[in-house]
Amino acid sequence: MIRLNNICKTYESKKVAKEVLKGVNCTIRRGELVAIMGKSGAGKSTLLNIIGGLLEATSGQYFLDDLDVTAMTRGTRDRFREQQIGLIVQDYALIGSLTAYDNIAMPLEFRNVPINLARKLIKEIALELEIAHLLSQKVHSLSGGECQRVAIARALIKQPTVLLADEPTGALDEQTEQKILELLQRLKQDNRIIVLATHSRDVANCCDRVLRISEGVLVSN
Amino acid sequence: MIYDQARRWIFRHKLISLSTVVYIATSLFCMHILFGNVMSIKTRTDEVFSASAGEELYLYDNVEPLGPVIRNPEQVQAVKRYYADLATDDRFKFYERIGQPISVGGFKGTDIFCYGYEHGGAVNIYEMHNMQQYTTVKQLALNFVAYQDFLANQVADAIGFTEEDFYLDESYILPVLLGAEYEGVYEVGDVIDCLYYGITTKYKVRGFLRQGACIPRKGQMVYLDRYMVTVSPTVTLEPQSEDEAYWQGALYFHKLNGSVLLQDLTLPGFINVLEAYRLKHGMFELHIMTYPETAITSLRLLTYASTDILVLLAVLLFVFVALVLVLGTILNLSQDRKNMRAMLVSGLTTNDLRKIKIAEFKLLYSGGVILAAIAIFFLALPATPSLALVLAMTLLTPYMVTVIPINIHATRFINNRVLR
Repeated sequence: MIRLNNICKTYESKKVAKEVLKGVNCTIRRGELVAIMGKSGAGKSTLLNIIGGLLEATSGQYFLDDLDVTAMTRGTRDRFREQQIGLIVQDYALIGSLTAYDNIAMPLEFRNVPINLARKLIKEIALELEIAHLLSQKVHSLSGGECQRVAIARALIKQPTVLLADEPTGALDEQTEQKILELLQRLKQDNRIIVLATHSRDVANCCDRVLRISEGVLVSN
Repeated sequence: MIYDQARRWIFRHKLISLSTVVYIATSLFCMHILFGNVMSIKTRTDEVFSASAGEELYLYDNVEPLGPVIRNPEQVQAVKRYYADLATDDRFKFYERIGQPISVGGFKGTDIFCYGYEHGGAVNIYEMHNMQQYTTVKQLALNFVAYQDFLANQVADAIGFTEEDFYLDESYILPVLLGAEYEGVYEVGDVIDCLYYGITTKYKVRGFLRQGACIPRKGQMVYLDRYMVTVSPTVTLEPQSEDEAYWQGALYFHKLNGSVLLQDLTLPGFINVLEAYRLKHGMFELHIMTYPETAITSLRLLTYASTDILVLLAVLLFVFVALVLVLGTILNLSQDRKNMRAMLVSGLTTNDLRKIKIAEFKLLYSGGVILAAIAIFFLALPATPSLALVLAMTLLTPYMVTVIPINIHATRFINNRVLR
């Protein structure tokens, strides 16, 4: 379970300090698929990055189960992110010159997983996401929907507790969007927490719950 | 894992990596040439000019005719005592740089070593003695003080002269150092027959001088590449024949025509000392002459100016190389943002990313260093006594100077552009 208590985030530059999150409180249970909605600049991505351990909250507390993430040092938080969080981003963040297989294998490589085991895990996840036939292809030759599935496979290969997706269907056509959403619905059944940041009502309607954020404040839950 | 990822990045970007390695290697090679030459010139300049900083007073006898004097044993003994007083007075330095040529029996070299060769052809360079042909070659004989002050640091790969070498013993064998162009003509240990004022002596080759070795003499630089440099010996042996007495007389007249560098005396003070010694030994007068040091001064100024220009060039090249390396790496970071983001999303930490980028730079730099070191070894190993220092300066300093800004920029870039 994710628990956010009065989370604030301020970006400070030399001249100005910009308060992006102003005391966000919420709880997300395991097995829930939750959408965070809001205008551009409302603080969706920042909240997602804080949950993902990429950013540190300026104040407040963030618990994942009984782990106080806000109390972690940077190194511990990095390890926490590596072990517990799967990230899917709007531009997929894949390395175009590598094959789909190599991209999916990256998190396993960073964990020094033996090659044979990695191969088995990748094959399983590829079958589940229907991308087995794409594994040997270079990512730059894949379509947007295929790239997104590769990105999801990469996020899932390390079996994270929390799957975070920033605009996961933003660049996809309706049909592909539907497929991805169905996939996410299936994935939450493994007792995972899935959080999406989206502008799309259609995407939000497919989720169990919608958190609306406006000017750094959670306005509806 | 860090170096594995860095290595993969390099293999994925073969063209950029290869260009970077070639750039680093070329830059380091050029810097090495430049720094090596600067160091070498500075060292040589200091070696050559360090002892020629003061104005020397050259002494001349005005004895005419000389023959009867040097055939007179009593006169010769008086000259030896007169000389001994001058040479051992510690209020001034007494230098002997005798340029008298020497006749060598069975000479193995070519005409370039002969006396007068550089002045439009050697004349009267052959003479017969005991049915053997002797060739007259260029020679310089030094006393110990002159050797120490002017030449000791220009001897290559050999033991130079020791103080004991400057005393003649019954063997009549003197050590000789040969100019660089004698290499291949004679070997270390060879014994050369010589004829000097009718007496046969032997020179034993002690070693060779460094190429370009030179010595200031009478306001000029004498370049010794084609010279035999021997000791101007002190002779305590009693002459056993008329020929030996004549030889000792000739030798000591040459020795007396040395030069003086004043230390604790003014010129009038020195003239008084000289006069006192003359009266003490009932000797002839010695004249004092100076030579304008214009040639040497000009040479010195020119060399120092050239060194300064080279230093400036070396520093500019160094700054340019470091700047291009830093800017190139920064540009490369910007272009690699997407890949870095992919790695971050895949689970790498920001610290890992920074380490990978530094590791890439280290690997590329090492490649450049290896290439440059090979090129330096085969093409341009400089003849500098501080090779290790030059190598360290040119190969490692650019790394140390550039890795710090690269590290700082990589950290900022990852936090501000990749993480957000």
